[in-house]
Amino acid sequence: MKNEKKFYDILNSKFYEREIPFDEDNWKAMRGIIDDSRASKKRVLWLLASLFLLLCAGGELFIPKWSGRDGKSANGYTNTSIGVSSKKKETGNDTHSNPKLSLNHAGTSLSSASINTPVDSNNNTPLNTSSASLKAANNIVINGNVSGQNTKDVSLYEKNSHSRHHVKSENGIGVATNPASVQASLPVSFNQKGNTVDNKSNDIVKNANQNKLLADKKDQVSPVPSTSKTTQATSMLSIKAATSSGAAKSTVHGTDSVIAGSEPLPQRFSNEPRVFQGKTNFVSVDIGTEYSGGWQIGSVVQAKGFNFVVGAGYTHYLGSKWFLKTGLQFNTFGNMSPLTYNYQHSVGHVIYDSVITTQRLYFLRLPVQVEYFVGRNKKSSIGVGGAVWYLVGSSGYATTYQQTDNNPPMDVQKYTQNTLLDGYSKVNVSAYGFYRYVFSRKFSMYIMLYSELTNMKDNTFFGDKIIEKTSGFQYMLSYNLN
Amino acid sequence: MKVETEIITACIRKDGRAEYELYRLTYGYLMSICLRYTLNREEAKEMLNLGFFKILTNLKKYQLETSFTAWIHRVMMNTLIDEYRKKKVHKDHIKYVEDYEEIHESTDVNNALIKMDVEQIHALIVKLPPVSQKVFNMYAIDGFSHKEIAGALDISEGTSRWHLNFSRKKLQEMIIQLNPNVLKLVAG
Repeated sequence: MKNEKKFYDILNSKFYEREIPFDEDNWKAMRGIIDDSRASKKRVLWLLASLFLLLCAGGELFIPKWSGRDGKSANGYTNTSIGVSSKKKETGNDTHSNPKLSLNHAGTSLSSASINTPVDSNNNTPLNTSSASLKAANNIVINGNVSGQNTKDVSLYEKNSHSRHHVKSENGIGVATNPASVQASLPVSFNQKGNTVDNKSNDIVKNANQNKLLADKKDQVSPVPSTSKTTQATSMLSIKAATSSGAAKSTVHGTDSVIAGSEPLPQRFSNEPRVFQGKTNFVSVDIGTEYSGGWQIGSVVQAKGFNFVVGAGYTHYLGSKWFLKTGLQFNTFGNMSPLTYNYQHSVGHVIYDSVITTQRLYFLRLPVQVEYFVGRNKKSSIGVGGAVWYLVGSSGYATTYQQTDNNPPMDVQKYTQNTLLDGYSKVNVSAYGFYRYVFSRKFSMYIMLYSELTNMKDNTFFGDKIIEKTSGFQYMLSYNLN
Repeated sequence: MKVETEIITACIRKDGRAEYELYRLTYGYLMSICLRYTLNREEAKEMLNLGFFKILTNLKKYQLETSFTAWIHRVMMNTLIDEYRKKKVHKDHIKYVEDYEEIHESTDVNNALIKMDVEQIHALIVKLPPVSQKVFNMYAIDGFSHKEIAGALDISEGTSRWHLNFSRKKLQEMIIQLNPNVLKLVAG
């Protein structure tokens, strides 16, 4: 026995000490296997993602209609409006609030084109403004008289916003249910005597659904041989359908449940979110983020980046699968730097200058959109809309200084300024398209692409037809309040 | 074989260079297993790649505090057993009798074995019948118990014992044939 063990030990050590040279060619074959596998995994993931989207968007269309789904129950409209108040901030003469800015350096009226120079806020040096459009886009001039009436252009930017909503069922108990949800939520079928029977086959349920729709009441209620599970399952569903106008009691897993006498199916059939199942209006809170592509001024891109959006929405049921939504949103445009704008009060031997740097713009937006729900359970919708933007404020700072000849600036002072809006269009319009997915009765999300239609900046002072537009996308979460 | 934890974690991140390094480090070890369970080198390479792919895809399941060598050994063996099962068309209904003859090995046989080259030993093992060969490899070299062998190869434990003893006896005979001096010593 000892020799036997030693025999094995010798073999073991010999084989595990065996040196086998590495084969590079075999690694190439291995690499191919690994790459192929990962590529196929990616393909499968894309396929699944595509299928998921397809299912979200329109899969339900292929599911037979459930009777009573579009029942004409007289759910009245619950028109809940939300107050929309936009507070317009006073703009224009804000330079007067700054003692420096309000100085009237009489007799130094200058032509705007010759004076105004965009300044890079990083080094306070004038940008290259060889382009006429650049000058037009960025300049602000106060011709000596800083009363405000000559103030022009401060670049701004914006975005559009849109609100959307969830709709809530007014039917207390789930009403219409598509067969898919029935299948998903039906663990056990049962005969009419209340004996539970395993229901293992989706086909059985499908058949049962069809039978339910077609079967005659008497036939359905007639006794079914208890030996056939399939027949029992079919029979029970048929019975449920048949009793839709009356009231029948059945036992589900030993618990009494009443099959309602009207169109609504048992509550257990209604687990799947069917948010927009009635003629209902909704009030919602929307919150999300927005990416703005910004616009270009010379070589500088402004307003590009992510911003915050918050708002309230009101959704009105139009009929069938159509909804109209409006609301009010507040959003900001950041990343306005590095351009700044000069308010040059006087030139000559001594220059009194004010530089305005706008860092952020604030908008109120009024979106109006129409959305159409694809499929039966109203979980996905697509839509288009438009939004009116109103510029309500900005934030940034102003720097004043005095400069003599080419000497360094003196008496440099910096002030916070949150009201100067000149140079930007007060009203803007955008259009957008969107996709919405409903997670639950309360939550849904929107993904939308928008494009501004009008001009963000007001360049009319210079007569240049420069258009600054932005486009981007929004990702919003919406929460139903009712 | 020394495999650094960094290589394993990099492989989990699907780092191509780490995957190459792991393959290079484990190649000899895994190949030595595969060669014992396959008919030729090409099949062994094929099995090695199959096993290594399973190792790569299951690396997340490996617990760093345990022996990596033992883990990849187990994965490789499972791969080989799975392939064996796939190829096995029908179950072997032959019931081998357990009452095998106890062999009393000579110390000199073991001494002769020590002096033999591993390739020579391998050449002897592959001369054994397929199932006996597998049982012998699994028990004598890879440390499986008869119960495990029985489960893996779908045979009874008694049959496994029979194959083992048959293999050992045959191997010893072959070793003696290769080393006539041993025969003289045993006879003497």
